[in-house]
Amino acid sequence: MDNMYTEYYLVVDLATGEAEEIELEEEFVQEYVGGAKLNMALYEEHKDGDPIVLGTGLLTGTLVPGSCLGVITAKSPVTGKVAHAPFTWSAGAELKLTGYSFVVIKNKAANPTYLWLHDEIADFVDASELWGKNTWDAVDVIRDEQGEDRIQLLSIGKAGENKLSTAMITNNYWGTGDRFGFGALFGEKNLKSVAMRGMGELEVDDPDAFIEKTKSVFDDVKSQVGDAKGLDAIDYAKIPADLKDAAKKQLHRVEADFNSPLAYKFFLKYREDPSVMLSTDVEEPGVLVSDPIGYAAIANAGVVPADAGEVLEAMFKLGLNPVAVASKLTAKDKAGAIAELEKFAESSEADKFDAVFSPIAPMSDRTEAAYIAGICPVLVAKAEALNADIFAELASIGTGLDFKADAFKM
Amino acid sequence: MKSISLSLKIGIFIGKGASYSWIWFVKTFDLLDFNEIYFIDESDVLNDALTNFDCFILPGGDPFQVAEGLGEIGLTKIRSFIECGGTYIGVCAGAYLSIMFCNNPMPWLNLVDMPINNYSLNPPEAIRMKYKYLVPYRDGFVYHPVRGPLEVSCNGQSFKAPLFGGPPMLAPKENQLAEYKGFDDKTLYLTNEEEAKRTMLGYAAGVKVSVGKGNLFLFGPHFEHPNYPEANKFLFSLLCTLTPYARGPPRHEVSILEGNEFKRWIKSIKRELSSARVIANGMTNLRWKIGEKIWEDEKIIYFLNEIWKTVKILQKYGALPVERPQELEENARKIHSLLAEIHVLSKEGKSTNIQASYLIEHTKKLSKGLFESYFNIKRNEWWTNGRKDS
Repeated sequence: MDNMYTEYYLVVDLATGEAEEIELEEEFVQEYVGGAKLNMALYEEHKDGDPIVLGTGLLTGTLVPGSCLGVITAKSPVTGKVAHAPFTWSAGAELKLTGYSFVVIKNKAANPTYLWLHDEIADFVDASELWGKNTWDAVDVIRDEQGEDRIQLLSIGKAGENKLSTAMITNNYWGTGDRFGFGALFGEKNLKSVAMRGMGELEVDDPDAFIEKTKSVFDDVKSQVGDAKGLDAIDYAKIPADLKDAAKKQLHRVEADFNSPLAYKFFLKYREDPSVMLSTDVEEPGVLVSDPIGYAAIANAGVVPADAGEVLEAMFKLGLNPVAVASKLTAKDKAGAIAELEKFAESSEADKFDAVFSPIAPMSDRTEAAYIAGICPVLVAKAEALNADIFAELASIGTGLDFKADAFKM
Repeated sequence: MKSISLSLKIGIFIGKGASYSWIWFVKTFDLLDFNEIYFIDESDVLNDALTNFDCFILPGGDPFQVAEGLGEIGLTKIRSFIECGGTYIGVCAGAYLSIMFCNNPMPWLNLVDMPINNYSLNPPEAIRMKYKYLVPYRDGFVYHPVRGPLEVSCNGQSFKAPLFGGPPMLAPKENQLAEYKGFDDKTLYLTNEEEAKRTMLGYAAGVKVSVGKGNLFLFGPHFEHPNYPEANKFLFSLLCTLTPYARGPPRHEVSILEGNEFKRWIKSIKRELSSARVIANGMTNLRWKIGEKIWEDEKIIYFLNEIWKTVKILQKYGALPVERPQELEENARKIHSLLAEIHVLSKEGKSTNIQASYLIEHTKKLSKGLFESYFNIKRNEWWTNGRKDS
């Protein structure tokens, strides 16, 4: 594929340690476009190897607002069906820039492994030393090992290693939209992490027209999103008022995903003064609330609001899905809650819970289109300017091919 | 005229003391369709390789290091090449190396007796980038009043070219090819504007001097910089006037890598280079003093990015002519491991000058090998027509 995507996608066989580059053909993209839809086609093609497919959309990593989305497609240990989970922040764009717009990960490694994707190279790296480490330590070790702090990682903690259905794939130190137990699949495959860094460049068929269109889309999106930030930017009724107060007291900064005007994520500091903006010696000053629903679930389970951030941090470190495990907490204080979480992560319980898309990006025609285009579903839920018609127009300008809005349906 | 110049055999010096700016020559010559481009270091000079070139380019860098690397024997070989009819193009460091600009010159090439206007016992004060401003030379200092784009004129025509330390020369009219005409709104002043004007404007930015049967072309600005097409045209017009001199074929035997051997080799180079780029792009504000030259981490990144682009082009071919492929693979491995070491040491606040010096050496060697493969392919049409994508 000459434009908007990389030339190749990658099929990794963890059992043999082989990685095969396969040309991403134009016809294939015309038929399946990208994101969840193209992932699904790759899943079907390789389903004998019980694959996990990591994929990007046609618009991922471009100038289009919200172009941060990567999609994980696999058979959910929770539902037993194939499902799609989003990963955002910078990881979606980074995956494409590694030189592989799509990565199919098949079979099981004989020993703990991490996959290191960088500039059209796929390395299988021994992760025996990392197995048993929490996700934060894994991030630090891998970044140190490869020499760059901006490496983006999808990893598992103890919960994933123990193949719990409540396990979640984390993104760097924080959470993802994995509500389908994909962390357990990483564990099944002896896959500790997928580390990504690339300095690839994307070609656009008509750059001037593409920039012009994205500018006008950005203006529309910005006017629809408004200036609300952090928890105020989230349309979700079940956020307790006392949690909002606690969050305001601990708020250090708000954050947005790659190329998104919606700063709905926020960083809480509870181990140092949240007004401190410079880096200090405090190594772990707080947590990025990348999943406001999980954060709310912790408070709704009865944990003291001021402690919810630290409990969320423990969930991320253990690689637990906050939404799935918060309701199991009985302790109200942080020490008790964290001890319970550590016990869950060590257990072998096959939990059943409602694996559904996040209520801040509920499934709709536009969200579905976003999962195919590679646009942040949380942003799409708030901005009507982001829809299948616009995605088709941008995809056509960017690729020089002809895409219709219908293509952005599963 | 054009076809004669395009067949010129050009040797670019990339040995000790050469900065990364020689890559600008590579890019510009590639665009201009010069294909007889070769890269030589001090050992090539000592082994009489110059006789096989029409033109020898000494690009920007550190003249102290260049002279040290070449030694008196190497410098004599260059003098002899020129006196016998070869053409020498000296840019910035290459110009300083060949000019005697004070009474007691360093033991360099010293073929042209010509004052420069930025040598002083009491240079004006620097207002920024002190580490780039002054270079001690004998009892005085060579100082660099401005950096970046400025205006140059030649035969009444003005165009822009960038300056990164090159000299303003006091040359007789008949030797003068171009002069510093004015500054640009992007010119960076390292001393106050009046001092900068006094030092630079009206002085020669390019000269041509005959020595024996050959000629020296000495330039202050980088007319070879690929972002300055008018300056490139000026350079091209001068190259069109050169007389061929080469006595024999410039390059040695190459191995032909094909099939799986080629695939494994190119993947291995890519792996190491990619890892190196990842680390290099994560470096922040590292700076090394190698000889008298300051190297910033961004120069390493530029180097690696240009090599990477070349690898991406080369991998499209089913086979490749390469000189000493195993050594190139080893260079790539060393580049990666040295950058990893620099990453760790710099985090600990330790000096990484030694590692950086080796890093630059290996980077040059790898880029030399890959660029030579590239030009080898370009000049063999049968190869591109018959073997590409095979």
